[in-house]
Parts: sequence; C-alpha cells; structure tokens
Amino acid sequence: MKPISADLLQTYLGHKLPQWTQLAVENLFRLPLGASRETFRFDLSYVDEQGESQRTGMILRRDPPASNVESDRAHEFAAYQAIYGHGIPVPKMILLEPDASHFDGAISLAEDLRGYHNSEYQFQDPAWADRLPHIAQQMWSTMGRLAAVPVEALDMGFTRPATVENTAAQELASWVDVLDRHDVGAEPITRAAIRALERWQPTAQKLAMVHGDFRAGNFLYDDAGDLIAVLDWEMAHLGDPLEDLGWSLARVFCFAKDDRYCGLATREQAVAIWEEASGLIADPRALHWWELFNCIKGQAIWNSCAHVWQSGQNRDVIQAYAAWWLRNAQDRAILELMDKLS
Amino acid sequence: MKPDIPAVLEDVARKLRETILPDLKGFQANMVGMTAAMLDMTAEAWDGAADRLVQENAALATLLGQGSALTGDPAFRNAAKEEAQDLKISTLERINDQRRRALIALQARIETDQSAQALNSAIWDELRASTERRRVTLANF
Repeated sequence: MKPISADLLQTYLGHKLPQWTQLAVENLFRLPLGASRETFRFDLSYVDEQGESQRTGMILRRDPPASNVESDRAHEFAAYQAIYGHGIPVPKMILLEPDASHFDGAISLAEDLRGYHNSEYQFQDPAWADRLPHIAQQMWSTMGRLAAVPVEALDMGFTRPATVENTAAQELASWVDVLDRHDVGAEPITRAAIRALERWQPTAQKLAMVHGDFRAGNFLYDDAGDLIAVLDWEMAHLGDPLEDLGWSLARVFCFAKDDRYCGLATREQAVAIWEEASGLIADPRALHWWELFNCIKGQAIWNSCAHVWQSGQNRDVIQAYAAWWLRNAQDRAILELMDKLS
Repeated sequence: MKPDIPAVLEDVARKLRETILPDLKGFQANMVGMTAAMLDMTAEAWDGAADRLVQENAALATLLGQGSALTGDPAFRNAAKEEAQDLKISTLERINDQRRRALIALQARIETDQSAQALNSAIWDELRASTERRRVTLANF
C-alpha cells in the first residue's frame, strides 16, 4: 500500500476543506491499534473561516486491501455517527473518504481524544489493581447502557435488518460464511460447536445496537479509571444485546490468564453490572448460546487473519501473530463452554 | 543445526525485547513485541511439532477406522489410508488436515446417534488432547 505521508494528507485536506487555509499536517504517527485497520495520529493546524488559528489532534483510519474483519470505513463511520449523542461516549467523526484512490484505501478522520489509556495489559500492572473494580463497573455499565438505548432512535441504515427472532441465526450464518471463505485448515471443534448452535437459537429480549467488539482494549479510560470513549465500532450492527455481553466474557480475552474476564471482573460481577445498567436479564441459556457463538465469530476472525497473511493479501505481523496466539485458545474455550474440557 | 534452534529463537526474542523494543514506540514497538512473541511460540513448537502430528494422525486414523466399522461407510477409513512418506511438517500437516476433515464428517454423522456415544466420547477425548498438544504457553487460555 502507498505510505501515508504528511504531504499527501496535507494536499488532500487542502482540496477537501477549502474553507480552511494554511493547513499543516504534523507529527503523523502510526498507532499500534488493532489488526483490522491501520490507525494514524496527527496534528492538524489551520486558519478557520473566522480567521482564527486552530490546532487539533486527529485520528485517521485506513482500510487495508484485505483484513481479518470484513467491514469498511463507511460502516464504522456510520456506526459512530449513529450512536454519537445517545449517551455512549465516542469520538466525533470528522470526515469520510470512501474513494480508495486517494490513499490506496478508504479513510476516515475523527477527533483524537488524547491523554488517556486503552491498554488491556495495563490492568495487570499492580499499580492499577485497586482501580479494576471501578473500571469493570465503567465498562459493563456502559455496555449495559448501550443495550438500553432505544434502537428506534438510531440511524441503523448502515447495517442489515434483523428481528428478535432471526438475529441469532443470521449472525451465526454470517460468521460461518466468513469461516468457510477463509479456510486455513479443518476445525473439528469449531464445526462441532456450529452444529450445536444450529440446533437451537435464542430469541432476543429486544434489538439493540451491538458494538461487536466491546472488550478491554477497545475503550479509552483516564487515570481514575473512568471510561472516556468506546472505540472500534467496525463490527457494529443491529442485534441481540447479549451478543456484546457474551463477547466480553470470552476466555481468549482473559488477559490476566485467570477467571477475571477482560482482566477485570468475574463472570458473575460482569453480568450483574450489565443487568443493572441495561434493565435486561441475561438469561443463562441465551447467554451461553451467545458465548459459544462468539467463539465461532472469534475463530472466523483468527482464521481470516491466517488466510489474509497466507494468501499474501495482508502481511502485517499481527495477522500471523493473532492466528498463532488465538486459534488453539479459542478451541479450548469452545471445549469449556461445551463441557468437554475435562 | 547448532546452536539449538529453540535456544537461539528464545535468545533472539529476549534481545529484541530487552535491547530493541525500549527504543521504539507505537506501531514499531508493537510489531517488534509481536515478532519476539512469535519467536517464542516457534521455539516452543519446534522440537515437538513432528511428534505431535505423528501422534495426532495415528489417533485420527484409529477413530476414522472405528467410524467406518460403526457406520459401514468405508469413506472414513479411506480418508486415513495415506501414510506419510516422510516426516516433513508440511507432509504431516497435509495428512492431518485430511483426517481432521474426515473426522468432522464422521462426528456430524454419529453425534446424535445414541448407539454411537462411545465413539463420540472418544472423538471428544482426542479433540481435547489435540488442544493440549497444540497449547501455546503465551495464550490467555
């Protein structure tokens, strides 16, 4: 892919934002965020329509030619715009450029909320131990509040329709299709789980905007442990809010390698926080279905990582790393959920 | 090869973490950190890779043979007919993949049949054992 340079970006923005003059792009820097998209930070200075000098931090995300997640800039941009102003803190979207010809891939620009943390590994630092209950409260209560947002109030035109009856089957079929198209080797454990999931699906209590990747590492928090913004909405869709809860209870995201999910809280604590904030019930059978489903989704993503690397479509180190690191752990998580681990 | 491959990989990984990584930041730091972790994973898998695949392929052949006996369908046994002509990892992995695909078909066929529960249990035992053989120390679970 074409490197994104400050000159290239400055020229592009000069054409795109003619109302601003003396545009300058400085401190362009690629961030280590995620496997699915390239993320850059930069400073933009300019003189606005009133003749005032301005300087602002910006985040640029670019779609690669192939990714472990089949989403695009337009989808994530629309998801952020849909939830913005509805009680879930997110960065403000600034600009979408869906034409891939400018930067060898579509890009989006958003405000850069600086001075905060987003590391899932920082939670294992003993210095943060006393703040973990608060961060857990912040994380799962925000997820619960997202579940409670009336979906009718949101512009969900960016995602496929769903009903309370069909969302589970629809999501399962979609991720099985991703797995099928990114086959890098037989997955007997995953396939057994798929067959179990196909025998019964839960009906959602309600439809909600599902973030799709709500876990430690995908939100900003401050030194006090307050959640500042939820990031990475590229897999957002209309669906069952239990899907997000189930994803956050994934074993592969137990970053402390113990029974604290997301390295923050026990399963019981997480579910209790979510239920209180959402006003919904996490029915055990339905939640178990979504937890097992999320193993399929995870395995589809990790297999896609291996596939895009193996096929030469995306040779970022993280694609190979994620596949090596996660595929067997995901199988073990399936065994645990199917009561086959011991 | 001498010095021993796992020891070399682990040492290179340590040097990347201790001498290169501290001078980097952002994307570069993350990439080097992951590269070091991948060297550690390779070091861990290297010595036992062929042995793991030989064990697994033998266990799969046994299950597929039992599957043919139970169902009367020779396709399962036939899927395990090919014997490795060498111990290259690529050869063993190709045979492993053939057998695991056949195992998926076998389990899908018998798992709801009450008379086949002993075989189904044996399949789950082998799948559980396979995740132990493939276990990555660095993984979260």
